[in-house]
Amino acid sequence: MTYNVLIVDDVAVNRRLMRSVLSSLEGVAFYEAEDGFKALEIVQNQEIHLVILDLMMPGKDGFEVLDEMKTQTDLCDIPVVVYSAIDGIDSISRALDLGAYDYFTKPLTPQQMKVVLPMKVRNALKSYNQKKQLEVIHEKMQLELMLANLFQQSLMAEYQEFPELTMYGKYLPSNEIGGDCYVCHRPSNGDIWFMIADISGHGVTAAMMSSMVKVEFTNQVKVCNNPSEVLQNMNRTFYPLTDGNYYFTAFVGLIRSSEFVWSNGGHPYPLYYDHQKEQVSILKSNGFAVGMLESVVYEDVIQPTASGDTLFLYTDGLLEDKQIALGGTVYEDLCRYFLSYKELSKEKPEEFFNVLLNLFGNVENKAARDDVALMLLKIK
Amino acid sequence: MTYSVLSVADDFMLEPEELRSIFDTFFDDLEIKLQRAEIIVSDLTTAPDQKFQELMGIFHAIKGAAYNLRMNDIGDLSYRLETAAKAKESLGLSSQIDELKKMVKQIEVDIKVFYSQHGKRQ
Repeated sequence: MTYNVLIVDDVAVNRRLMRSVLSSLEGVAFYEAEDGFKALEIVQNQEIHLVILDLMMPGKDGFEVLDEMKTQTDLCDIPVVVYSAIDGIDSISRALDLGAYDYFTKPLTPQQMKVVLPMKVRNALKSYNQKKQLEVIHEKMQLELMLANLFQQSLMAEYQEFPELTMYGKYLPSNEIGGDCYVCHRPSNGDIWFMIADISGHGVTAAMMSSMVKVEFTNQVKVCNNPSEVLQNMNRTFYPLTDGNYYFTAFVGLIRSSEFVWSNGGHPYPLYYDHQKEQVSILKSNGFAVGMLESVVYEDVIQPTASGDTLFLYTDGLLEDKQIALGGTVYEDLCRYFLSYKELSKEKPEEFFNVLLNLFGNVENKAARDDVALMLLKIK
Repeated sequence: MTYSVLSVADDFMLEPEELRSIFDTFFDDLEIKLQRAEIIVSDLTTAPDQKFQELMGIFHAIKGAAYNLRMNDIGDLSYRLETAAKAKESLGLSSQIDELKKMVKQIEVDIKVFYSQHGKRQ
């Protein structure tokens, strides 16, 4: 690769000298500009990798060139090495504040000519190169994350129909990918199992772990008889992997005949809507997050279900900001909202999810919020 | 003291021949700049602020180039002229420019002699 270096100085001798001294650098081609106007014209029209800029020039001086370059997105990454007279250290300080990469003072001593100037140029070019390489890697990663997001979203169905219930789901990762997940699964023995989980942390690690959690869940429900057993076995699987450094909260449920059996591993309390009584209850229970401690015992809770009843599950990303704002009354608020929009939850679950997300301020400012997963189960 | 092309070439790690065209550029540029300075100094009564500003720029540029080429006497005198222009002092400017021209002439001769003794332009 050839690096294009622009030397900007109003004095032709200075440009020529610098060019001669730097000509020993391999793979470097030079451009020259005698004033700030010409310098900006060149950086805008040529691919320049480094600018060596004299600060004191008539007309448009080095400060103006630097300032304009640093405010233009396509030019701001080009490193600029400034120079000025030895008595112009205040000028150099000002230029560094404006974003100059490095500086030297003139006249250059023999030592500076032989060692310092070529080194500064090499360093600046190396820095530019590394920055560009990072940009390429970053773009590649963003693309991969975007694809991973598509795969992750496709693993979480927004709608599933079973003879006993209908499931609606929604997932909003805070980054491209995240660590929340939900699953509704009927193994060959006939019971309908479901789980919502929230893996600690965000990003790639959490996303990988969430995939593992889903796989482990579908394996466990084939051999377990109740949700607490599923959580216990998952704890046995995941704790040794990271010695408790990565863990997850999970709510596991099972619909068996007209019974609803559930167990909670540190997850925010779901809501249960009793259609006949038109009441919402909070499914409170305590339990440790899965994978946090070596040995944990979970408990099952059994309650009857009836046609028309609805179960609403969510991850803590839904409530995070609100919990701070309301100081602990968030569950009561959630119950109230649920009752207010219960008809919407029956008829248009997707809109119901959006209303809740809006009410809890979770739609805007994606970067600031946690991952959010929502799940609505309607008993037939 | 005779100006040493060899010493300057050594400083820059260049061959003396590589410096020859740089000297040409320097003297051509200097001639234009000093002519312009003389014209300005001949009439500083109209628009003096603008003219002193231009003089400052001229001597600043000569100073930088001269110091870079290790022509320290020219650099020092240019610095004094730049300072005088900055302070808008016209007294003695003309005579100092004459002195500067003499210095330039002397160095130009030194350089010509050097190249006449060390081979011709390729």
